[in-house]
Amino acid sequence: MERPEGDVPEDSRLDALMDGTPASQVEPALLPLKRLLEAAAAPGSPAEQQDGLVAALRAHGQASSPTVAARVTKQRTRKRWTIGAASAAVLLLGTATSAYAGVLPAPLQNFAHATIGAPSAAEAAADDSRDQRNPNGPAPATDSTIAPTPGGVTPPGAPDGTSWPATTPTPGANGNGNGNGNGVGVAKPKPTPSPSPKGNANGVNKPKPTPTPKGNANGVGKPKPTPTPKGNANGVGNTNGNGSRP
Amino acid sequence: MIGRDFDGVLARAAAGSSDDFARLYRDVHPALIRYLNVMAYEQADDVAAEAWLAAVTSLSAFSGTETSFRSWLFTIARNKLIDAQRKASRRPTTPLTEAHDRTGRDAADAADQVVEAFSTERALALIAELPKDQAEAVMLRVVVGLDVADAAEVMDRSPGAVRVLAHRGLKRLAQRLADEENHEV
Repeated sequence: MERPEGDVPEDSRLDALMDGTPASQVEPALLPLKRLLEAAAAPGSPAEQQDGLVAALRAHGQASSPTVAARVTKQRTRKRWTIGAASAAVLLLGTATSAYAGVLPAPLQNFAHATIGAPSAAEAAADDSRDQRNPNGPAPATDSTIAPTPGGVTPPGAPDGTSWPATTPTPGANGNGNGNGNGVGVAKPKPTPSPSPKGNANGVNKPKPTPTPKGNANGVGKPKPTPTPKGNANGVGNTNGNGSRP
Repeated sequence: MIGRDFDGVLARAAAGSSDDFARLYRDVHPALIRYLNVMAYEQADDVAAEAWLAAVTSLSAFSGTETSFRSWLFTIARNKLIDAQRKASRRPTTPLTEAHDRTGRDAADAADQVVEAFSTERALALIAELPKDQAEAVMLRVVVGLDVADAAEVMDRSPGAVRVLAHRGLKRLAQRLADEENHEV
């Protein structure tokens, strides 16, 4: 059964009920509710007050005793030491990894070199510079001692007659290229020149299965990304096809 | 409520005085067990014990007024209750009786003598019939004695939401009492 609209208690009167307005100031319609709330909030009976008190006092005594407090302090100290040791281990491991990667500042890198055999700062710097020259791959095995020889060939398309790198061809040198057109690919040196007509002389050609007949004047070719199966002028083509890719 | 002596009682209880701790306990525990009885009758005793255990271990770290102490303790109890209910939901059990309220009395019986003096048990049984959040708001505001802000903190709700919940609960209780009165007439 719905109450008439006028009988619905206003919020302010309900707030007053909850805030402990005396029953004498409560309107008659709300008196039953007021009595109900008073009964619910009545002072605790002795049974309620004693319920669980013994166990709570025991827990309170244990928590307050010096031995328990000392044990808690000891546990906290042990926990702090454990966390500190774990943090130190992580830090050391990270530093060692950085040292072997060669990314530490020079003094630290040298210290790591002396203590744990990591690369020295100079070695790390050399590696860095090599990597910067050839960002596309591992450092190539350059050999700048290869001398130019007549008949060095250049793949077609070298526009200015120069090429990079300025390695000089050697007849029979087993040239290979990096094949990506950035000109960093270098010759795979052969210690003994071979009279074999295979292989171009500039050492920087892109590996091709067929010789390229066109060549430029200086005998050093500029690598070209698009292979053209044309032989070079002197008939010394790169036929070994053992180019290395970075 | 302890009143003006509360700060001293709390300080001595935190320092290890069992007498002062017992005074704190006797003052707060009836409201705590009533609140837990309304919220979850089967788990009330266990949750109350766990709440007190947690409270005594960190009693020395607490500082504040008597109201904030109650708010702090009931927040602990509420969290323990949520944990207990979560555990119970993982191990469901079949209740022995469903039609009986927390006092073992039929809910209809609880309203039989509402015009006359209420017993605390019957009053709590009627409050327990409310939707859970409304019953909680009424209990925290009326039985525990928290203001809207503190009750909202315990319930992790906004003060406005708690106020509305308490109002709805009281209106529903008033409606129930009026219905019973008309029925008798």
